[in-house]
Amino acid sequence: MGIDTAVLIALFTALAGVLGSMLGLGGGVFMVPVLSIFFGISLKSAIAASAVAVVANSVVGSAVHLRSRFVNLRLAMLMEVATTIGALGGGLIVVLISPDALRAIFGLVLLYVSYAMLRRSTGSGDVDQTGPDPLRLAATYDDPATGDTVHYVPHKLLLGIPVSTIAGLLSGLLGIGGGVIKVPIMNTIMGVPVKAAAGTSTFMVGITVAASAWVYYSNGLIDPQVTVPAVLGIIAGARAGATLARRLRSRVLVQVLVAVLAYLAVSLLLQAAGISVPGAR
Amino acid sequence: MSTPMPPSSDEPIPYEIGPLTTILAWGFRLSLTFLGLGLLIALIQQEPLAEQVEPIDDVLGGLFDLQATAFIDLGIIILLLTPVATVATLVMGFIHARDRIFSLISVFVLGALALAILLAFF
Repeated sequence: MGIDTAVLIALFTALAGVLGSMLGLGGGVFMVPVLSIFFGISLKSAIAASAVAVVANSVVGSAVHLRSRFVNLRLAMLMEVATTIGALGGGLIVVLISPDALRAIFGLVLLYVSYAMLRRSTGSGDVDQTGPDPLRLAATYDDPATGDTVHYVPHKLLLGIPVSTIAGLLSGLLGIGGGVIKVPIMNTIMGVPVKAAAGTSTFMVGITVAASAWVYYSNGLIDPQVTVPAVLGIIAGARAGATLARRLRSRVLVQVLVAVLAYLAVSLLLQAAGISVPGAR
Repeated sequence: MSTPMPPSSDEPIPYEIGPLTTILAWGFRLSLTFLGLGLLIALIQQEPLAEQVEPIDDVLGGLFDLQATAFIDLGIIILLLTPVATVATLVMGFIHARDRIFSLISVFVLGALALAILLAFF
């Protein structure tokens, strides 16, 4: 790989880091398809590189979200029980599964993400401020965008936590943070405000993806030629994204990205079906 | 004798936040340092980066031989260990607060991560 390609990967992953940190998605949903479709990198290498970069993104972004008190540590640990197990399973499956099957799964997941993002941006997900809280998961934070103090009580844990196992499985399978599932689960099912859901998800993503990244490491799937520029790029973008997330209103964050995600989804599904995509390597 | 109540998460929990941000910051800095050293050595020695990480057992030996790949692999390993360290810190925080339920929950998560690391070694 030439240095020009490495620089391009770093630049692109910087953008993915900004977007990922802002949305609590981890950046992998943008990174894996683009590395695979436009840089011609094998899908499994792209997934492994994305996983390491997503951990870096989470490490940098979490510190900012923690200081802003957007991270609900108790809720994060509770949900991690399910997602970490899923991520371990996904990491083991990715070693065995065919690249075309992975492309098809990734394409379908991206279509779901586009739908979930649209739903989120149209204001779904009411925040509950009261209700039973036997595990003391209630939390409060100050929203710098509105100046309001937001208090919430997560609910429907028995539905949200098992569903987050799927987030972990997809995370391990696709090298993404799983925030694409976790944020909508926390927001629309569990009644957690978007910013708290994104902050908690960013913190969780590092733990979830680390579990599967160790499996990739042991199977030699991590390619330093791709991973190092991806990590450096995403680190550059992550802090800016976390800072921007504090200042921007939630609805602004999502709508522009839906078309990009849908395009990447269709491209991956076409490739899985053996149809060439314009501009793809 | 009263049993201490676990703190509600809407109250300040400085014993958790402070160490967590410190670990995240130092994990990131250390990882970045080794990645940077690896790139520098690769540049000086005109050594192309490997297309695959080395087994963990070989990384330490490579460091003493000043192999760029070993430094980069160690940077990646430190990065992947950072979330593990944050969970370990949370375990200690919950134990310190005598919060039995969340101590157990976070020990379980730490155990799953330890299993993944063991898979990498064996």
